[in-house]
Amino acid sequence: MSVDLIEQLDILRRSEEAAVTTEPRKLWQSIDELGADFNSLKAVRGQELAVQQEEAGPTTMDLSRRKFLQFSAAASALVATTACTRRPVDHLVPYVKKPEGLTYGVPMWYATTASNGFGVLVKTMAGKPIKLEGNPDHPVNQGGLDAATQASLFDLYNPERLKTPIEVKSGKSIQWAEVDAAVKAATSEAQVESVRVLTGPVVSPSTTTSMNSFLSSSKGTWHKTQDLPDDPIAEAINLVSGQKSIPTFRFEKADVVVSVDADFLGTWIRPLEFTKSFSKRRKLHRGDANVNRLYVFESLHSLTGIAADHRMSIKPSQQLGIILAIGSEVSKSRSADAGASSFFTKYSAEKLSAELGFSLDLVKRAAADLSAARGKSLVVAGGHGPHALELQIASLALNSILGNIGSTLDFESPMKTGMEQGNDFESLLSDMEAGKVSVLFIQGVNPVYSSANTRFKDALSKVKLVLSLSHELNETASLSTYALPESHYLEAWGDSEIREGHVSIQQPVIEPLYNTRSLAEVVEAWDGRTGNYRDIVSSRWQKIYSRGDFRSWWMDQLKTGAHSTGSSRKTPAFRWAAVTPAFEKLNLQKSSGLELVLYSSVGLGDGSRANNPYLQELPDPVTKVTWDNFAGISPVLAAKMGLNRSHYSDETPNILASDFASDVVEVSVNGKSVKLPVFVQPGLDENVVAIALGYGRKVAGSLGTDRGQDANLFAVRNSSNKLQLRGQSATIKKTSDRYELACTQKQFGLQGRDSDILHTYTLKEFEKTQGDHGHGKYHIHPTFSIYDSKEFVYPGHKWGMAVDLNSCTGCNACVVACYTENNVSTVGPDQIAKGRHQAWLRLDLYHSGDAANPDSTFEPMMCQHCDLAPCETVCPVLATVHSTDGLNDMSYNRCVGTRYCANNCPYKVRRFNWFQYSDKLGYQVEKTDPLPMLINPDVSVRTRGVMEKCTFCVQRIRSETSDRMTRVKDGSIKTACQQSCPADAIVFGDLNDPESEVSQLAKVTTGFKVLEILNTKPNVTYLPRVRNKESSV
Amino acid sequence: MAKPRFCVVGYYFQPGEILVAAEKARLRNFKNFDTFTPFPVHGIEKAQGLKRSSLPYVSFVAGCAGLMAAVGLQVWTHLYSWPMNIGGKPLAAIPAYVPIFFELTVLFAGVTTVVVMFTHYCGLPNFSKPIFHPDITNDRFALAIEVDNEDQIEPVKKFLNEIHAQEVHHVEGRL
Amino acid sequence: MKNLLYEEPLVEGSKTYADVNNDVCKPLESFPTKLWLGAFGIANLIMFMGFGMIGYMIYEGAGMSGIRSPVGWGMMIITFVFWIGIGHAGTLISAILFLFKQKWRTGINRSAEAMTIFAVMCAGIFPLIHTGRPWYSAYWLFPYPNQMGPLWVNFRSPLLWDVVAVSTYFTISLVFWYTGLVPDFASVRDRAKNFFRKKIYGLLSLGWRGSSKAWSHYEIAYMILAGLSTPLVLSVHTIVSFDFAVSIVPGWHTTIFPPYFVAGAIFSGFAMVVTLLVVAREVFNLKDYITLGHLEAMNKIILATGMLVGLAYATEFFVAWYSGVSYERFIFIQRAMGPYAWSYWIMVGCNVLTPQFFWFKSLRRNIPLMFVLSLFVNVGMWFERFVIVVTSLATDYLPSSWNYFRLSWWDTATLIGSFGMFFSLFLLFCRFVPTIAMAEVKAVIPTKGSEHHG
Repeated sequence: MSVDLIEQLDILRRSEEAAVTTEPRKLWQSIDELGADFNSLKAVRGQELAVQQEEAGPTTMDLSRRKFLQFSAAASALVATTACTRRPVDHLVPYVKKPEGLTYGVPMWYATTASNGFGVLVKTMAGKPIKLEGNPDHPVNQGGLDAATQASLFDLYNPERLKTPIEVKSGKSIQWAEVDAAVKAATSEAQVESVRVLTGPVVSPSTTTSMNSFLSSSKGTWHKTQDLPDDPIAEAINLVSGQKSIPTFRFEKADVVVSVDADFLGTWIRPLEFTKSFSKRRKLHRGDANVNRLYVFESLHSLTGIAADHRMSIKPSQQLGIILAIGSEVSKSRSADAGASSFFTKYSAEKLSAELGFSLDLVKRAAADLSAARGKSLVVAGGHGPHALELQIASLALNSILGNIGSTLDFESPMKTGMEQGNDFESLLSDMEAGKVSVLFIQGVNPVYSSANTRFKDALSKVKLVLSLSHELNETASLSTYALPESHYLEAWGDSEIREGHVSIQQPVIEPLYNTRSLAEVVEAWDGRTGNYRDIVSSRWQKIYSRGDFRSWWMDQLKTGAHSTGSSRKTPAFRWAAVTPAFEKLNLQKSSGLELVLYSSVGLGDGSRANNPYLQELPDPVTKVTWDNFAGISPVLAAKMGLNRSHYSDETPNILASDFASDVVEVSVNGKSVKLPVFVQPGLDENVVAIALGYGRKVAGSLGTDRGQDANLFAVRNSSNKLQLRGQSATIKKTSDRYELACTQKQFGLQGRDSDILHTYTLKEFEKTQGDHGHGKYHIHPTFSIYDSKEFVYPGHKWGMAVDLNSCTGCNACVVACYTENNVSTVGPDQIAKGRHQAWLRLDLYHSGDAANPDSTFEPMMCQHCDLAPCETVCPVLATVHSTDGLNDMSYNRCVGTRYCANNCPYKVRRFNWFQYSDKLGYQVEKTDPLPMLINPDVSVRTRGVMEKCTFCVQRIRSETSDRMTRVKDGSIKTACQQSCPADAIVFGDLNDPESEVSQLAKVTTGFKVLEILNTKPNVTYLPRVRNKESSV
Repeated sequence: MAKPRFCVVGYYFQPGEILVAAEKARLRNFKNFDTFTPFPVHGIEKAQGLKRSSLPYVSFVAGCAGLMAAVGLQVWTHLYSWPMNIGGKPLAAIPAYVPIFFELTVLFAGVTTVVVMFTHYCGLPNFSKPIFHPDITNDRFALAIEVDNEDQIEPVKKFLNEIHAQEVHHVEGRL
Repeated sequence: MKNLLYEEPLVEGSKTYADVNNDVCKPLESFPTKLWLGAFGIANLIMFMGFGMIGYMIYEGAGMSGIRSPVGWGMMIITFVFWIGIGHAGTLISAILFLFKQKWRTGINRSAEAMTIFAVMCAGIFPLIHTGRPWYSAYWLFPYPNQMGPLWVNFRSPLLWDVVAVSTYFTISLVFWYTGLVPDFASVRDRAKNFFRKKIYGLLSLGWRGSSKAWSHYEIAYMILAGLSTPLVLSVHTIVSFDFAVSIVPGWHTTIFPPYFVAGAIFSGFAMVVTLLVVAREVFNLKDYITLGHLEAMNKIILATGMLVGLAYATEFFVAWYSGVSYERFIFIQRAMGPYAWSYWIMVGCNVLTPQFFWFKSLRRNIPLMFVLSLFVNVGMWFERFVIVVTSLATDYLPSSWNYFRLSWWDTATLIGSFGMFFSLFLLFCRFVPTIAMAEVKAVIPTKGSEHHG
C-alpha cells in the first residue's frame, strides 16, 4: 500500500512539473477548469482595458504595433501565471466512495496475538497499525501489555528490516523461489537426521503442526533453545512426576509468596501474567484488606525485590541453602507430603546459615508465615544458580509440603512456554561438530551472539546449507547461507496457546510490507504447500472444534481474539525417591570473594530487541540507566575499592554530586574479562557484581550495534550440566578510564521529604489510620491562597487520576505506552546523560533504609494537571492554559520556548525539545520510510524549541466527548498508561462524577498529593505504598 | 513675501555680562530679543523675563495617558477580549498588572516630554535659522535683538555698544 | 545642596570654556590612534564570534547551550541579568545624582549613560536567543492585534513585565542620553572644519543654537526626565528580580529580591564605570575632567553597595533558616556546601571581600588597585546570578530530577562575544560622541573667561 502511495506521489510531482512547462491550454480537461480559465481570461481582459485607458487616455484608442505586442505579451504572461498556480487535477484521484467500514481519521481496532502469545488489540489508522494494547478478553494478560511487546510495533516499520531473501556471501537479494529450490535440492539428497531446525520457543499449535509435517517429510529433527535459558522447572517436574509441564503459578491465590532469585515481576518466565495475578492481591486501597505478603531472597535488586514486603540480598551460592533452610523449618511441623519433607529433615537452618553465611531472621519468618498459610502460599525459585536443577526440585518439594500443589501451583491448566521439551541445543551442537548436519534452519534465536563460546560459530562452517529466518540481519544470519526475511506477527496468520486450553488466533492487520514470510509459511512452502496460511490455521481449528457452527466460532475468535476451553490435564503424583540421590551427593560450601550475577534487563531481554530505540531508551527500572549495561555493585564494595559513588552514596545523602562519570572496572571470570562502567546501587550483596545480558551486539542495526558490552561469555555449565548465569566467582579491577552512563535519575534518596513526596506505611500503621480520618501518619501543612480560586468552576468534566503505589511494580509498560501513543521522541544516550530525556511519564524510584536491603518505592510521575498550575501563570505567550474540563493544555505552535514553565513546575514533568528530536531515532539515525507510518496522527509531532508534557491523553478524551459537558461512562476513557498497566495501578476518570472510581479513590484519607504544601492543587492522587510487615523494620 | 527682518547681535564672554545685558534689553522693552549661551546661565530667565515652562503639564497628561493605556490593554484583554483560566488566578489579577501600569506611564511621559520640548517649545529641528557665531556653542554669550527694518539697526547697535557688547554686528533673518 | 562624597574642585587645571571644547572634542577630530584601532579590531572580532555562535544556535537548536532539565535557564539568563545590572549606573548617575544636585556627576554622566545603553543592548540579546524559537519570540511577546483572534500575551507573566520594563528602560535612557547630547553636538557642529562633519552633527544637534528660551524648556525637560528615570531605574531590576521572586522555586521565592537586586545592580554598574573610565581618562587624556575625586566618589558607592549586597546574602541565609521551610534551608546549604560551593565562594569573595579595601582613602585613590578590584566585582556579580539561577533549579523539590549543570563551550563563547559587542560600541562612542557633557561642565567651572577681543 505504501508503495503505490509513493508512486502516486511522484506521478503527481511529474505532472506538476509538466504543468509548469507545458502550454496552459493543454491542461483543460473538465468543464469547470474551463470555467476557471474563463475567469482568468476575464481577468486578463480587464487588465487590457485598464492598460488601454491609461495608455491611450480618455480620447480615441490608437494602438501602435509596439503597444499591441506589449499587450499580447502581458496577456499571455498573465494567462501562463494563472494557469501555473492551479493544481494539475488530471492525476489526482478523488475520494468518491469511502472504503468499506473505514472512515479516515477514525481508528479501527483488531484483536490479534503477539509473537509471545499475549493477546493484543491493534489500533489502525487508515490501515496502518499505530498502537498495541493488551486485549482485556485475553485470559492470560487480561488487558495489560508489557513494555517489550508494545515496543515490538516499531519492528514492523523498522527501516532496517530484511526486505527480501539475501544470499549472504554475495550479499545480493534473491527470490523466495530460489531459496525454496535450494532447500528442496538439499533436503531431497539429505539422509535421515541431517536436516535440523533450531528455533526458540514456539507457542503456536498450527506452526508446530506445519513444522512437524515438514520435518517428517524431510526426515529432520527439531531443536529448541532460548537465548536466555529458562530455569529447568519442566525438567525438575519431569524427574519427579514423569510429566513434562510447567504449572500455572496462581499468585492471586497465595497469601504468602516466597521468591528465591525468581524475578517473576520483571524477567522470570512470564512477568506480564504474574504481575497481573500478583497485583490482584495488592488492592488494599480498593477495599480489599486481604493483601498478600512477599518475601524475596535475591542476588540482584529486581522489580520483585522492590515489590517485596521483606527482602534480603543474598549471594547466588546461597540460593539453594535458603530454600533448604526454609524447608527444614517448615517440615518441622505437619507436612502435606511426607516424601517431600524427607528432603529437608536432614538439614538444619542453623547449620546452613552458619555454613553459607546468611542471616536466619528472615528465613525463620518466611518459614513461619508459609507454614501458617498452607495451601495458600507459593514458593518460586530461579536465577540459573550453581544448583539450578536442585533448586527447582527443592522448591517444588517445599510447595508440595505446604500443600500448594493443585492450589497455587495449577497443573490442570499448565503454562505452555514452548520449552517443556527442554533445551536440546547441546545435542545439535555436537551433531554439527560431528558433521552430521547438512541443512540447518534457524529461527527466533541467535546462538552466535548468545552462546558463551565460539563452538556454534565454528560448527556452522561444517553445515552445507544454513538458512536463517529473522526480522533483521543478526550475528547468526550474517554467517548463514541465506538470510531470510521474517514477517512481523502483525503481517501473518497464526495462533497461540500459552496456557493449556486458552487459545488465541493471530490475524494480520496489514499486508506484509516487504517480501517476507512467517515461520509457518516458510516450512509450509518447503513442504510443497502454498496458498494462504489462514486456511491452514482455520482448517486446523475446524478439525478440533468440529462440533457446533465453526464459522461463527471462528468469527468470534477473530473478534475477541481469545477463546478458553477446559483442559484435560490432571495434577501428577510426585515420586521423590527418584531425585533423592541427586541431593545425597550435593555439597554446599561457603564461597569466598565476589560472585557474578548475569541477568536479562527488562528492556532488552536477551538482546534480540537491541535495535529498538524505545527499549534502548527505556530506563532500567532499578538503576534508571539507558542505552548501556554496566557492572552493578553495592555502595560498600564501591567504598572499599574507592569508586565514584555519585549515583548512590549512603554517606552524604544531602548533597547532590557534581560528577556522574562512573569508573570503568575490568570484570574477570575464569580467565575471560570485560571492561564495564560500574553503577553503584543499593540492594546488592557486598560480594556481588551484576551485569545485564543482551548488550554488546555486533550485528544489530545502527542503534543496537556495539551498545554496552557482551557478557554472555561469562556463562558456564554447572555440576548438573545446566547453563549457569549466577554464582561464578569473579574479580573486578579498577581501571583509569571513566564513562558517563546515560542515567535518567541521578539522585535516589528522599532527603527526608517523605511527607511531601512519598507516603509509605507498614500494614500495622495503615490499619491504625483507618479509624481516624486524619491524613494518616503524615502531617500535611494547611495551605491557603490570597486569591479565592472559586472563580473557575468545572461545570462538566474534571479529569483526574489516581496512582496506586501499592500495586505499581515499576514494570515500565506505561512508559512505552506513553512513548508510542504520544509520538514522544527518543533522544539517545548523549542527550540523556546531559539530562534531556523526553519521557512524559517517568517512574521515580526512591530508596530508604540501609544500603544492602533498602525499602525502595516507585512513584510514577506525570503532569499533575494542577488546578493552580504554576506553569501557566509564568508563560508569557499563554502557550499553556487551563481547559474548561480541568486539563493543563499545552499548545505547541504558540510556544516560544522560554522554559519558564519547566522551571516553575515543581514536579519537573515538562520536557523541552532542545533539538529537532522528532527527525531522528535516538537523535542519531534519520527516520526514513516507512517509519513515519508509526506516528499517531491524533497527536502533533513537536518541533524543535517547544515545550511538551503529559496531556492526560487529551486526544482520547476529545474523541469520546466532543462537547465537554455530557457525562461519559466511567472507564470508557482510558489513558495509554492506564490501559497498558498490568497491575491496574493507574485509574483515570471524571472527578465530577461521584460514582467514578477515580473520584472514590481521590476521597481515600490516606491518599496524598505530591507537594501538597505548594498549594498547586494537583489532580493526581497517590495511594501510599503499604508494606505488609509485622512491624516497621 | 514678507519684508526682510534683521537681527542685531552683541557678544559677551562672561555669563555675568550677558545677565546684565539681558536685563537691560528687557528694561528697554525690545519686542523680540533673546540671548544665546554655550550653557544654561543661571538666572537668565529672570533677567530676560521668561516665564516658567508649561512643559510639566504636558508630561503629566502624557503620563496619565500611559497609565490609561496600560490599564485598558491589560484589563480589556484578560477580562473581555480573551478571558482565560490561567493557573486558577482571577481574571482581574490586579497586583500582577501593576508593573506594566508603572512602566507604560513612565514611557509615555518621558518620550512625550522630550519630543514636545524639542518640537513644540524649542521649535526644533530647524536648520534654517541663522547661527550668529560658531563660538556661541563654545565660549561666547550673545544678545540678539530682532528689528523690523534696516533703519532700526543703527540705534540698536548703538544701544548694544552702550551696554558694553564686546562685538556687534547684524545679520538678516529672524530670531 | 553641597556635594556629598566629594570635596575637591570638579575640574582641575583651571580650564576655560574653550579648553573644555578643545579637550573633549580632540579625539573626535583627530585620526584614530593605533591603540584605538587595535582595541576596536579585537573587540569587533570577539563580537562577530559571538554573533556567529548565536547564528549557529539558531540553526542547530537551544541544546547548544549547557542548559538541561531541570536547569531550564543557564548562561543566557545569567548574562542578561548581569548586563541589565551593569546598565544601572548610568541612569542612576545622571538621574538620581542630578536630583540631589551632585555637581560632580557632570564629569562622568555622559560615558556612564552611554555604558548603560550599550549594556542594555547586550542584555536585550540574551532573553531573545535563550528562547527555543527566537524567530517567534522576537514579536510574539508583544501584544499586537492579530487575526488568530483573540490571542494575547499573558500580562501575569514576569517575563512580559521584563519585556516592557527593559524596553522602556532602554528607550528612556536613550532619550535621556540624546537630550543631554544635543547642545554638545551643536558644539561639535560649530567647530567642524569638514563639510560632512558639519552636516552630520548639524542633523544630530537638530539645529540647536543655545537660545536661552530653548535652554529654559530644556532644563525643565531634563529635570522631568530625571524625575521619571529615578523610579524607573529602581523598577527595572526590581522587575527583573520578579522573574525569580514570583516563581515558586526554592531560593527564588523571596521578597528580599527587589532591593537585593537593585543594590547589586548599582554595585556592578559602578564597578563597570570605574573599569571603563580608568582606561578612558588615560587614553583620551581627560584626567582633568574625570578626576581622582570622581573615581574615589564612585569607589565609595561601590563600598556602600557592596556592603548592602553582603547584607542581602546574610539575610537570605537567616530567612531561609527562620522560615523553617526545609526546601529553602536545603537550597542555601547546597549553595554554600553543595557542588556549586565554588561559585558561591567566588561570589562572596568578589562582592563582599574585595570592596573592603575601599575603607582606606589611599586605596580608594589608587588607580591600578581600583581597576583590578572593579574587575573582581564584575566577575563576582556574574557569579551571583549564576548562583541564584543555577543552584535553585538544579536541586529543587523532587530529588529524582536533580541534575548538575555545566556551561557548554557555546555558552562561554557567546558570553565572551557579548563583551566584544559592549566594548566595540563603547569604543565607537569614544570616537564619535563627546565623552564629557561639555555644556554641563562649563556650567560648573569657575567663571574667569579669557580676555578675548575680535
